[in-house]
Amino acid sequence: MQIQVNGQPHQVTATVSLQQLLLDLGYQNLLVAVAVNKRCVHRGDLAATTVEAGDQIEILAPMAGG
Amino acid sequence: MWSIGDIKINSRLLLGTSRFPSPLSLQQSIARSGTEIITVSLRRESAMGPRDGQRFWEQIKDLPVRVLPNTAGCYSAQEAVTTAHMARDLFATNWIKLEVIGDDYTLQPDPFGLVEAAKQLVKDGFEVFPYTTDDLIVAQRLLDAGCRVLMPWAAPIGSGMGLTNPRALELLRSRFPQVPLIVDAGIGRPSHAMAAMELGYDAVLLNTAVSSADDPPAMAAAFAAAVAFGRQGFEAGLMEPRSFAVASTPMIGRAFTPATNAEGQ
Repeated sequence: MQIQVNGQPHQVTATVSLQQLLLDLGYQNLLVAVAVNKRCVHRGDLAATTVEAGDQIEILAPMAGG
Repeated sequence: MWSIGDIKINSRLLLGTSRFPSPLSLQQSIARSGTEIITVSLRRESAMGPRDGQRFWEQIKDLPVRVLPNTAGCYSAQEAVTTAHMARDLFATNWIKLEVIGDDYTLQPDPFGLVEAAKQLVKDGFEVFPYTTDDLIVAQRLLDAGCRVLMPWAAPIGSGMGLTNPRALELLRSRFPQVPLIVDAGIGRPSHAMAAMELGYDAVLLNTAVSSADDPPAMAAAFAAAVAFGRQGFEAGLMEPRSFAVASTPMIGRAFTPATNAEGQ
């Protein structure tokens, strides 16, 4: 099924969790925060949250800012 | 010493971390500014890319400063609320510099979205630092929403124009004497920061004026001094300006005048 990750189309197998998606994308050991469809998914909920077709996923990291 | 909630803070200068010429320049600027609070942001990052965000975090995570994440780039209350929650996850702080931008050209805050987002975030347990205009009623609404600190702009972000409406800033200070007030955005020179402090503001937040200087660490030191001296002047009690002259040298005893009774005796 197709989802969007940081604005880019991405294919995943069904029933993957957000935690697994992050691992598959190479984010292990990286400090990131995740939102799905403009709602924050807290770190403790990543394993229990299943990715659905059409989800728009944002993966954000720390950045310099004013 | 000033405080936000239960947090006591010595330095009255908050420093942004963006657009510095190098990581070393940023680190040296933070050190020489004496700041205890730096602002940070969140941006998309690919795990397969250069991982700039991870490197940035490695550089600052052990510094003796608090981080104040912002919601820069958000154009609606919902975007800002979501970004704030992501920031809390990422940086493990309930502090959030709340920005809801209403206009691309001036980056002027959207006061309606700002108040809406502030209400939600206060309910969600955040310490909200709202980046706002100098409008008195918007400021009151933000306080009504539960904000315990206000951050009115001096001028548009990155403009360096200084205090474009000092009377409005002065009015906010006089109407909210107990609320921590931070001038955020538009400060271009140390004298601008000093002017804000002389109005009785608790602190100033700036970024571009330091990061775009020829020598950012030296400029950070200059701002630290300006902020400290401006505050010292305010606390010492500034004289009120007058529209007429008052001689500072005593008039009694001046030459080329008839002697007065006092001088003759």
